[in-house]
Amino acid sequence: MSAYLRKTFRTTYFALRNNLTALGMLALICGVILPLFSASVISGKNVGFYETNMIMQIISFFLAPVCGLTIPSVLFSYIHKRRDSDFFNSMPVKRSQYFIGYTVFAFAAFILAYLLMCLLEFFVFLLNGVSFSDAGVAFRYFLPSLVSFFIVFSSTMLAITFTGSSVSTLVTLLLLNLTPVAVIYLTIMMGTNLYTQVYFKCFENITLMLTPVASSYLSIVAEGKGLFLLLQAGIAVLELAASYLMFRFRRGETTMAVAFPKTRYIFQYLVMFLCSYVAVYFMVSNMLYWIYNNQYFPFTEMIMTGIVILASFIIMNMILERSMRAAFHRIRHLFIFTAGFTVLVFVITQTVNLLPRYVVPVQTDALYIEVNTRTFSPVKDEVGTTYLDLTETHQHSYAVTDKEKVKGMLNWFVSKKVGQEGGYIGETYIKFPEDYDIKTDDGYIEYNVLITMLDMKPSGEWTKGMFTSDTLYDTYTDMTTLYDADMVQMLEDEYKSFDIKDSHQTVTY
Amino acid sequence: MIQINELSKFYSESGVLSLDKLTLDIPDGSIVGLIGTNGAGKSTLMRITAGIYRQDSGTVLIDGEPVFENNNAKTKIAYISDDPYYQAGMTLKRMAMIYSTLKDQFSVKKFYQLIEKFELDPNMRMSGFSKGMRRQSDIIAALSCNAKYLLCDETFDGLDPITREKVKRIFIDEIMDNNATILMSSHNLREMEDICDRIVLIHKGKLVISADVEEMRGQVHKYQLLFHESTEVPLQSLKPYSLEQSGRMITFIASGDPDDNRRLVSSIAQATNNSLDYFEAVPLNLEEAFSYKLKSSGLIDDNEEVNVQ
Repeated sequence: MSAYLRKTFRTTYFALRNNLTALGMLALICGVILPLFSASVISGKNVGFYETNMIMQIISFFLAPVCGLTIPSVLFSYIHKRRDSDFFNSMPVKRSQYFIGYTVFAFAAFILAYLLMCLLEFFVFLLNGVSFSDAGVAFRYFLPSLVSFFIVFSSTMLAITFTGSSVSTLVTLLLLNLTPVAVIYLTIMMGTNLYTQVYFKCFENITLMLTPVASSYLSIVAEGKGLFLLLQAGIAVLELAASYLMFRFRRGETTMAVAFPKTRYIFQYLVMFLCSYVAVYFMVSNMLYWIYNNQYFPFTEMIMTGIVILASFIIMNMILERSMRAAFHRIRHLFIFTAGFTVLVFVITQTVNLLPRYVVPVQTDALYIEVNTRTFSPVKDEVGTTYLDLTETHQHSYAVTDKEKVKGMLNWFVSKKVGQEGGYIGETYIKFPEDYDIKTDDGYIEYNVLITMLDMKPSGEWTKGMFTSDTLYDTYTDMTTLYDADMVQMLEDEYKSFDIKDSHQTVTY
Repeated sequence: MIQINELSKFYSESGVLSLDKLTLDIPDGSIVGLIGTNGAGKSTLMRITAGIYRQDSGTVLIDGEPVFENNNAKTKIAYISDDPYYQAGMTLKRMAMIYSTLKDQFSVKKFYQLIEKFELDPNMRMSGFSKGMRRQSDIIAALSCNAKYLLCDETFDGLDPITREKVKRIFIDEIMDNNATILMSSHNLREMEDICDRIVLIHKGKLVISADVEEMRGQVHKYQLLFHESTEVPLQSLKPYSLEQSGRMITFIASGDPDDNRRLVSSIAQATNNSLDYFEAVPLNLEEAFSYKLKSSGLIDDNEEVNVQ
């Protein structure tokens, strides 16, 4: 064995001897607390595969990410403390040997602790009358949990090796977990919510895959779907490789918030971007809602956005400069940043606005059409006010058999159009006659607004339509999609005039 | 031999150039004292020499090998930090375990011998140790590494006078027995002059003086002169660090041989139609000598205190 490997394994051995207390705690959790928890849950009950599977899933949800976060934090936190860093770096051990040696130890500790837990759970299940095959589920989540641990471990390592302090590590971990959601998911949501309500399943998956915490949970849910786990493990491998490079080439000083001085402003502005993006997302949503609907002015949201941007800026400066005074010295950057950011958000929202045009499935892709109708009855509350209360929901699915007729129908009152690839557009696109009055027992409620989300060009191409809202008087404002039973009947009659198959389901509340 | 060549280190976070093209050779078997004001770059130099920090430019060679990320070179070094390392709940016994796992030449036997010498309890938690006891623990561990080069950053800080003497004796024994080389930094020049062969003064990352202690000690004198006439005597050619005249009496501080300076003063007096009635040269201690040298080099103001007391 080469001297390099010998030293690396000695570092693993050192990690073992130097972390006996932490290992003892892990053994206590896996060897005593978790099996006792399972025993207390299933004791005296008739349990089978469903229950044992649920227990193992819950335990794995908890154990793998927590270990993925705490084990590297315990092992590698020395690089953020000057005294510890000086000591370890003065020893005749290369950085790469520390990295590999400690990583091997981390995985060995998790695997052994997890397998110990699995074995004990297996016996706990057997002792509680679970059949041998159902008790075997104790080992079912080993591989998914390992991937889950790997995902969180890698992202934690990325944060630890990139930063120079524990606070910065925490901020970076939040960044890693929130940036995909903010940048991908919120952008899409902004477009879909504000404009066409087109929902992209693929973006949801991409976001989840790139978000370590979500990804770690998904890996357990995946239950051994090979390709999915492989993809997630691939992302984790890339993160770990990046951590290795950063660990090797980071500066030795521990006084810095970020280990690589040139990246500190990227780090700072990324945090501000994230905070501001989330804040502005809500503000813009409300602004546009106000503009289109003339409903209310989002004054509170605007103030909150300002506070979020300012707070994130000050906190980041305090972390990086370690002084409040320094934070205010750089306040001009805030104004430049905010101005730039506003432009960026505008561009993003406008770009997103255009996106759905190209992803709305063509009409011939429609497999079936759903109409959800709800029946409301007048109810009097304690103070005597009458309002309509939901009493019944009808879900109608109409399989499309005559494409040409559907084309006409869609133009009129599509409720939900399901594409062949599984995506769907909108939920409630029902066009009511303007100034339609809903008759109730207590009189008439004025219903004077129409909802139209999609229009079709004569060529059959989908285009984004006008979004208008409905308004109901003398009822609560959130009951904006109320339908009178008579009107539902009218709509259903119109549906039936088309040559479509009807499958009907009624849910009664 | 430790060879430091054109070494520079810049802290971009604080914008401080800690070391500025510093060049220094430390021969084997010597004790070199590193002094300088706060922020002069002593600790940075120590850390780079110990292979903890990566320099921005220049080289540090230990017996001809670069030290950063070089296990072979680092094996020859034991570093005593200015902030002794210990973990929560750690005892000296566990410290021995840590060192013996990471350092091949660590001698557990020597470790326990030194513990006895310093009268420390190997089973007591280090968190309960005083600052001086933690410092002693670090010294014990470093000496037990049997390293060829000992790097001691502010090692005497926090030690009582008796322990200081004990440590000094042990350091000297280490040189005698193992031909060790010691580089130690301190603010306290008086402490260094007892034990060091050579003193290196660095200021704002630059090497100002590197001199043999014995040479330095006899180099700077305070002169008191009494002239026959109270006329002005131009003594600038002696390059005095300070010069005061009060009537016929002149007091000045300058380096150089006192006999040579006496001859020079006499000739200057003759040239100005004056004569020297009294001449006295009092040697300055090392601290005063360094202080005046530093002032004369223009690195600090006349009114500025030199923090190498």
